[in-house]
Amino acid sequence: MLQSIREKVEGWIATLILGLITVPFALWGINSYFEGDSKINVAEVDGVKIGVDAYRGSLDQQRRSAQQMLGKNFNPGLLDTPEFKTHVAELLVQEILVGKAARDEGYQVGDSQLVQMIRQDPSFQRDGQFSSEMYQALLRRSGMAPRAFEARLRDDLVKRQFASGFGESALITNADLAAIVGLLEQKRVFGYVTLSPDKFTAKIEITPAAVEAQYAGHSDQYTRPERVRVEYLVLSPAELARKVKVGEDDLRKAYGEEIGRFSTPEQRRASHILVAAPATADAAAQQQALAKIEDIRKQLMAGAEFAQLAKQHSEDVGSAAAGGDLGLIERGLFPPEFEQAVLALKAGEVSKPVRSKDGYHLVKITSLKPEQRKPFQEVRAALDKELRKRQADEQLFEMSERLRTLVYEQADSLKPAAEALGLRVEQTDWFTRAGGSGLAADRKIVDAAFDPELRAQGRNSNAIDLSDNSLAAIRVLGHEPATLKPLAEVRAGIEQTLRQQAARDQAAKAGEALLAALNAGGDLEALAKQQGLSYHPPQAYARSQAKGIDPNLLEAVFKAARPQGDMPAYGTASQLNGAYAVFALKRVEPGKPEQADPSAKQQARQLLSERRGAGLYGDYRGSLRKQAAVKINPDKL
Amino acid sequence: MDPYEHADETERLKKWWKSYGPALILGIALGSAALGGLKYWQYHRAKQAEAASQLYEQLTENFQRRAAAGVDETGSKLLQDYASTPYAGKAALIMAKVHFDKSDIPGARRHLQWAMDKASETATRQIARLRLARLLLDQGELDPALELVSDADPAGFEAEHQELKGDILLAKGRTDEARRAYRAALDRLSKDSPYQRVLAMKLDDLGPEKNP
Repeated sequence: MLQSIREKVEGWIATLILGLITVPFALWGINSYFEGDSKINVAEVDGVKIGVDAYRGSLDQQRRSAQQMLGKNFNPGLLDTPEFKTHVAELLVQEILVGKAARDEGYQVGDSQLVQMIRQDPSFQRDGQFSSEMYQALLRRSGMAPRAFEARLRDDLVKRQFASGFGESALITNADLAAIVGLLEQKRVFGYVTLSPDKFTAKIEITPAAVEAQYAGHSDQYTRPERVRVEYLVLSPAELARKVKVGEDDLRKAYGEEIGRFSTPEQRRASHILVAAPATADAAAQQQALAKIEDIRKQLMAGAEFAQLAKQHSEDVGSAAAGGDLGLIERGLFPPEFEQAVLALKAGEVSKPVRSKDGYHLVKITSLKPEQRKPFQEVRAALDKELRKRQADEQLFEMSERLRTLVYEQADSLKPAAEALGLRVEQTDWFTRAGGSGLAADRKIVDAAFDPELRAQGRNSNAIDLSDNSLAAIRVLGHEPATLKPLAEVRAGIEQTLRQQAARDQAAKAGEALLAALNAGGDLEALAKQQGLSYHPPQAYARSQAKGIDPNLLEAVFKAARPQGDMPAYGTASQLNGAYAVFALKRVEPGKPEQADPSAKQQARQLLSERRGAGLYGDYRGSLRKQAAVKINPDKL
Repeated sequence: MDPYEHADETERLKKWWKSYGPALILGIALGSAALGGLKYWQYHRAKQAEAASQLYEQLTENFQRRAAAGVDETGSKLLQDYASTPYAGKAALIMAKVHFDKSDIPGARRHLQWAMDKASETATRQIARLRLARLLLDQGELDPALELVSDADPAGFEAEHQELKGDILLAKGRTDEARRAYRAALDRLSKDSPYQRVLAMKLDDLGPEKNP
């Protein structure tokens, strides 16, 4: 048998199989054959794939902006949830859908419009003028090629156009606004009585059997959750920086060495007049140029305006129109002989003719700001902070390594590590899996504290990296498993709860009976008197009224049908305080837009313009999303 | 090879050319003309869209500066010469707004009608239809307004469409149908929209359904 297979394998079957195998490898590569190409894609939108790189970039960006917005309250744990990751992927999907829809609908941005956009962007401008160098430099700094940047800008612009026009063109008609203001400002006139459960509690008997049934049926309510208490030590860079010793000498020395950072260099602004005489020109031409520049210099000495003469005579086309102005002179930008002349001049002074390869120049310093140095006292505090941080950082690495080793090697106590590093061992209060306060609020610490293995072995935890670059280690001091509280301890509480429940039920029953009597033609005030209930006579209430009235009652009244003729509309509501209310709605007074409170009007207008305008774009995007074939791979996020 | 045979071959080729040559040349000419035409047409469309895009930017700029005359000027150009681009539809919506703000209701209606009939983008046509119907409702022309929203496919704007329908029906006194429309609108409105509250208020105000 085997023999025959082997023979065949060497023959035509082998050739065939080999041939068949070659085809997929040749087409898709061995890599995708084994891994499947979904491995590198986070999502797929109508055939467009979103790669891991794009997703990661977007995730980082979202995190950074969240961090910026929340500042100190930023909790990185919140942004590590599957919900947040899906949200980020969803945003990318929407971006792609919008881009695609915009192109399909025919939105397009041409080169000239793009160029105009770039030129008008203030971040690429120097002195109000587009500067090509700045554009290139900024792009280089952000690590983007101009082509890629322009493609992205074009894409952004097209998407912006696609999204535009909805909000600004919203029409708010009078009828539309009046309807909403009318509702917001509507008043309803009603009287009511409340049936308090307290009246019924005395008569209610709670049997031990009922208590036991409640205790057994809702044991989770009577269980104290698992909790722990730990001791810990923390190596914090901020703390270390405070402890580091920085002397006056160190500060002075650093100030001297890094003086460049505390001073603004001298700034010279210069103008020039050029009489062109290239080195290739003949002697006569050279002579003529020199004569001309001497002549201009004489005019200047006689009091002529430099800028005026530059406009007239300068052959440097770039600067002549601006009166010869060259702007601030940066070192290394001009020929050395020219630069030397500039540096030698005082403010307002005009140079002797300077020869460069282009010809003869006259240079004038139009403004000169000498070098500015911040005095030591002014920078002392900042420098002190910086030096502390530097020294702390230098020590931190070594100390971190020692901490890691010590808590691991001497695992039965935190003391050796604390003593070796000059840290204090501290203790937390009891906390549950939900976390506690201070260090116990950190997710990683909580996870370590509840690690069953760690607890069983009674060891130190490994060193744990915290979000603020601190390093911590913990050790469990005590652990309490979740425990069902004994019935004796909770009996009184259970009886109380059951009694309240029963009393509420009876109040509701009495309320419904009262409602039936009202609908049969009774009068609320008379019935209230008869039953000894306190009656609240009719009064006008606004929808937004919060004071003196239960919100549940108010909501029920505003949902009720309108009274027909003289017959009030009756209804009931369970109040937040447990009482049961029965009301008689007498009248509905519509809000009058012309008498409405301006702030209510403003609020209505805002709600409406959002809905009739920008909100529609949201709906549009939502429908694009619904129609698209989107596949998100949650395990790749 | 035999020279005689070769001559024969040439002869045959000549004959073939005589009968099929003109057709072949014509075919090639037609084909390249069509290809060129297609390329030119695509190029023309792209140029058209780019020009419209630039005009549209001007229009929104004018709109932001509240320069109504400028909006009308660039807008009319877009409607006239670039009607096939999506920019024309958007321009019509914005022009309608400008006229509405000047209390020129016929002008606003004209531009909404244009956008509803001629905009290239479905969403723009839908929005124009909804706004036109709302304008008619405001003017008291209830039947034409209802007609506009009765048999149109709301194409993604269901919440707005149903709310408007409810408003018109309520104005006509058909409360039960209005209640149904509001309920449908509330169902379709995004759950995190701040407008949920307003829509719920409109629905609640109609009271509960009466049992027959």
